Amino acid sequence: MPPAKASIERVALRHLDPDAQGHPEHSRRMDDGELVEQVRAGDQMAFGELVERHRGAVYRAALAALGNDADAEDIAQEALVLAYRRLDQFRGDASVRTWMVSIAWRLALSRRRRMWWKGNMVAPETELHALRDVAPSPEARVQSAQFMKTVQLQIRRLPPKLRDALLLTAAGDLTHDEIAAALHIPASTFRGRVRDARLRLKERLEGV
Amino acid sequence: MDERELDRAIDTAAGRMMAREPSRALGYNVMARVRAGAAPAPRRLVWIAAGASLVLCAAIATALMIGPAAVVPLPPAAPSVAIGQPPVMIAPLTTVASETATPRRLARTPTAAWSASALPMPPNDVSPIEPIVTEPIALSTIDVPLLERDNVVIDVLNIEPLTIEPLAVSND
Repeated sequence: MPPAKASIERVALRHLDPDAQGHPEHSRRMDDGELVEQVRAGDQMAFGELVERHRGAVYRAALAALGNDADAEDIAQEALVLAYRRLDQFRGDASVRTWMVSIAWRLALSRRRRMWWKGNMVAPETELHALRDVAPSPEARVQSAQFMKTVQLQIRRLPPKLRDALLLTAAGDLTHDEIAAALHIPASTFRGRVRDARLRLKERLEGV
Repeated sequence: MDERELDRAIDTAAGRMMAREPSRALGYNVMARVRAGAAPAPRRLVWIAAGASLVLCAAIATALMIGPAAVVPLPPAAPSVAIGQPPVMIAPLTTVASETATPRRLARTPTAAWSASALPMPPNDVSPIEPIVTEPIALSTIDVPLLERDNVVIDVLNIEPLTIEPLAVSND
């Protein structure tokens, strides 16, 4: 377990039960359902633990829909606060992460309808540096970086539904079935979108 | 570039587009807003509010149903009936309910709460306003002069008996 993650869990557990510090029986990791019950009982710190666990997935879902850090972070914040307010509506049919991502997804789509797609989803410069490091030669590194930029450009030019499916899959936070549940579409439809996105990208990249 | 390499390039490009983490400020901002009063509305509060409303409605309905019956005095009965008619026994003044009252309400007797409200006020609740002294109303008898009766004399009419004459005589 990474040290940072273990530290977060220790803080949460210490808050939930002050007498349980260092006790082996209380050192287990509380699952999301238990944390939800704690929040419903009025423990705000338990919700802080849920935020720590799932804020990355919520943020990346918003990023897939909006394409820029500022809007994604703003939507993620709104979604997490809304999740806290509506925690009584969480029935446990899906995981807490799927439920939070679905809230963020609806908010992100609502904002995307209002804003024009600005094309700012280009990979940061640091990622291009990382690509250069793995390339064998300077010429190959430049070609590889240029090709990766082309692929990302083609991903941005996909139809929104296909692009969403591809990017949410690439985020790796949820399975196909969980993403489909968060998007409120059948799993087969989601898989079809991922497949169509790949086919279109391959058609466009074959000539490059 | 074959299809496998394209798949790998697509996965790499998409993965790097999504390989980002939110700032630490995201968690702090969320928890600050949560602590600032974004309290969740537990469902049990809704049930408590609904139950309280139900009890209140029931209490109001009960108070309306067992309340004192309205006393509607009868209009003053005429002291006498038409001249020349036999005397009529006038029923004593009774307490009746209004026409809109339900039969259940008529059958009810005044409750203790209503009786308590009719009790005299305790000394502490006496109003500081001085009472208005009024003179008792003295009932005086009204002398109504009797109407004089005129004796009407009716002359006796003497009617002679009719005689039937033969038709032949009357036509002439």
